[in-house]
This record gives sequence, C-alpha cells and structure tokens, in this order.
Amino acid sequence: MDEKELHIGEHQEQDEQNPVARELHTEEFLVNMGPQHPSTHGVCRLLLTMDGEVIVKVEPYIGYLHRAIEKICENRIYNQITPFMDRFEYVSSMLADWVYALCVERIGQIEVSPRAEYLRVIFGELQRIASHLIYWGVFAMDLGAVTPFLYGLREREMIMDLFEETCGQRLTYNYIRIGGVSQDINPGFEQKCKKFTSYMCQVLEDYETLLNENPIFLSRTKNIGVAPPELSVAYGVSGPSLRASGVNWDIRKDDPYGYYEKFEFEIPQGKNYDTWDRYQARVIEMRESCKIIEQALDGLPEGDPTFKMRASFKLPEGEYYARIESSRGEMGCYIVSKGEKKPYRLKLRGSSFNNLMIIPEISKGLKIADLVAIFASYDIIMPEVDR
Amino acid sequence: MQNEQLVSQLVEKFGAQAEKVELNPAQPALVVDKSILVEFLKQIKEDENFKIDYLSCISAVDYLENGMEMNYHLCSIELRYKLTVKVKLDREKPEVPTIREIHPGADWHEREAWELFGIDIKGHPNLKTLLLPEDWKDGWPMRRDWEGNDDFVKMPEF
Repeated sequence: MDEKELHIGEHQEQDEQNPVARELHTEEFLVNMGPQHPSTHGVCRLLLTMDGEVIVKVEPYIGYLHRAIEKICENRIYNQITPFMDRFEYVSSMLADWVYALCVERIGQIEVSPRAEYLRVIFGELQRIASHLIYWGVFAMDLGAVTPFLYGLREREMIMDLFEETCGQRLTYNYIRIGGVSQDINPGFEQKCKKFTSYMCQVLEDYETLLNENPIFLSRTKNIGVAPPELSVAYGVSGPSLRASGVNWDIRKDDPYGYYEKFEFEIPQGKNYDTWDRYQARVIEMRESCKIIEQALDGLPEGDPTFKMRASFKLPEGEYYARIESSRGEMGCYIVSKGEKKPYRLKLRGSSFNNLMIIPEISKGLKIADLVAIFASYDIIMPEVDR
Repeated sequence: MQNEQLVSQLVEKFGAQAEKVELNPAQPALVVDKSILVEFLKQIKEDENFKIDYLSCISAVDYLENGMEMNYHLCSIELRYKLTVKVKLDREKPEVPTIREIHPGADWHEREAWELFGIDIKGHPNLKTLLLPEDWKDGWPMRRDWEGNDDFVKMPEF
C-alpha cells in the first residue's frame, strides 16, 4: 500500500500562488467508497484521492467475489461446468451458458440443430432485455429516482416467468447446454412471448417519457464521463458502452455466432460519448432485441432442440477463444483441451473486467456524485469481474 | 481479407520471428518470440493493412514440462479479423514484457497472469494482487502442479 505517497500532491505547489490557499493549508485526502456501497453494484472498493470535492485519482480494488471458477472448472467434466457459468455472470446467465457451449462446440465440431439455435437467440435476447431492465432501473436509482427500479423489475418479472416456464429456474438457468438446449419450449410459449414483446415496445415509450426529458436526469448525465472512441478501444471496452463511444462494433454482426446473420437489427451508436449515450444505447438495444425475438419466433423451425450425449465425454484436442455479445459487451471463453474429459485450462473474460478499467481514466476531475453516475452507466457486475 | 491471408502476410513480413500454428481454421494464431513481442504488436497495430487495435483477453497456460504460454487474443475493430499471438515462456523463470504501452487494457490481465501463474511482467509498474487477498502467500494457484494450502479441498476423481 502506498497510501502515504498519495498524500503528497502537486497541488501544494500550485496553492502557493493562491492567496487563500496560502493561508489555509489544504491537502489531498483519501475516501474509501465500498466495498459495501449501494452504488458499486456488488462488492467493489474504490479508493478515491480527493482534492476537496474533486476526484484526483480512482483506484479500484476487486477480488471480493473471487470464487476461483477457472480453477474449479479444471477439475470438473464438461457437462458439470455449465452451472458454474450461471454463477460466473448471474445477471445474464443465459448468455454465459451460451459462450461456454459455443466454445466447446467449436473445439469438438459439434453441430447444433437449427431449432436449438433459434431458441438460443430468443432466450439470449430475452435475457438481454432482462439485464438492461435491471440496468435501467438501477441507473435511475443511483441518480436518485426510485420509481424506475420498480417499473424495471415489474417488466423483468414477465421474462422471469417465461424462463421459469421453460427451464424451471429464475436466475441460474442451466438452459443452453453443449450441443443444444436442455428442453423444448412448452406449447403456447410463442404467443406469450409475442405478447410480451409488443407490450415491451409500448412500455419502452413510457420509459423514455419518464426519464428522457427530466432536467435533473439530463444534467446528471449529459457531458459527464466522456470516453472518446480511441480511449475506449485502447482499454478494451466493449458492448453498448463501446458503441456509445461511437464505435461500430457488435460481435453479433462482426463475428457472427448462432444464427444472428439471419436477423435484421440496427446497432445504435453514440455521438457525444458521454453517460447519456451509454444509457440511450441500452434503451435502443432493448427495442432492437424485441425485433430480433419477433423475427426468430416467426422463423422458428421444427425439430428436436436437445442434444443426446453421455454425461462424461472426451473432447478432441484443440483450443479456441469463443466470444459472444453479452448484455455488457464481449464475453469470452478460452478452453485448452488435451483430449481429456476435463478442460486443461479454462479462461473466462468478463466484459465488466475491462469496462471497470476505464473508469479511473475518465472520472478524474469530476465529483463523487458523477462517479456514481459513470459507474452505473457502465453496468459493472462484480461476479463477472472477480470470477 | 480472410484470416488465412492475414497469417501468411504476417509470416511474410516478419519472417523467422513469427511462426504459424495450426489450430482451428476460425482462429489464426502465431508464435512470436518474447523479445520482439512489443515491437510486433506495435507494428500490427499501426500498419494500415492489419490495424489490429483491440485486445480482447490475455490468458496464461501452464503446460508443465513444456513450459508456459501467454495467449494474446486480439482483433481489428475496423477490418474485422482476429488473431491470437502466442509467446512461449520458460517455466523455471517465466517473464514477458508488459504491453501496457500499446494496449492499456492489458493492465489487469497482466496482473492476473502474475498473481495466478507467477509470470513476471517486465516493466509493469503496479504488480500487486488483484483477485487474491493482499496477504496471499501460498504460491501461484493456477499452476497445474499447485498443491494447495490448508483450505484447499481437492475434487474426487469422477
């Protein structure tokens, strides 16, 4: 710990010229934000070096939620690993299942049935909406508005019901398995899902009227935490946060997996690269996800989406880095297989890991309240950072 | 440009210093000597034909008697192709130069490789624990031959 060094700032020299500061001796001080702080979305400790009310330096300390999932996975057979993926990223666990299944399928050259691919797209996009609904509510709550959180959870509950009906779980689904999905949808699911998407498109308009013209919300988000495209790319920021920085990059379009090439959807991009754009990118994305779900439901092919295999199997030798567009950005899974029943090495890349790295860079010179807004706008989820 | 062409162009440009590895056709990979790693990444980032400017992930792998390996998963935002750069390391004294100057996002990935695998990142200014507790003294836990500490319970064979 080099906290003593932090006290010695360059500001003292500048203060010599300021007559008020010459009389009133000022110095920088440290503020611990977290690990238990409502706006750090989990257990993340931010060590802030403050000059009065202005942030001089932010240092994140992570690892409070480290469960060594990568080490555990080295000692488990392939089918036992999927439940761990749910815990790796529990706010969008459907997508975490998908990246692991994708990686194993690419190494083992496993064919996935078209119906399973369509179901993956439908459930993946429902999961994206559910995750963005939490984001929407929590972001507004961090800025002081409690009502959006209640609305967001109300709509998310409908998605949870759809998931529960299909796979029996509400948070950790274990639904997308290697080679397919765990079970087919129930009769009548399509109608319920279509009803939800049309309802969702309606409420999104309500959402926008609720926050978009609120002067407090605007002044807290516009031109706060500007992340230029070059900086975002250099730090490996991904997902809606990268697109809000004006970079046209979506893995669903640029490195396609599943059946995403078959669907038409827009990729929103930001113009001002600020907190507002990051918020807006996600709201537009929810609408695009609704479009994808409707297209997928219309084209859903017949067939068996499940994949029959033995509980314990040997994966051919090989290695692959698979990546998908999760609700927060690029979620990656790197597996080295040596032809055994267990992976030799499994590495997970959470999108929040890189997204958290840029926050110290863009929050210098702002106030703590702005840092709360920036932190919330990047949608950091700590289990994904700490693994 | 297809991934195949990318690799052959890179091999042509760097000659003996960059060696092609046959992995998955969807994932072109090169083995680069650690002495030219920084220069190599800098050149493929600045070259107009490659523009490999995005670092997705860094994964270290411990191959026991076959040494260690650092995998840099890179891609190009503008030209849309991806590349894995591998660096072979000596297991007795694993060290690799930092690439923070070229990809600032490598910072925490490198710290993670240091604390979990004991790979010395040369030139990294902030090598301290990231995911593990600050007072961790039980070795490099992600190495394959790590025996574990008192809290570690091994999984029975399945």
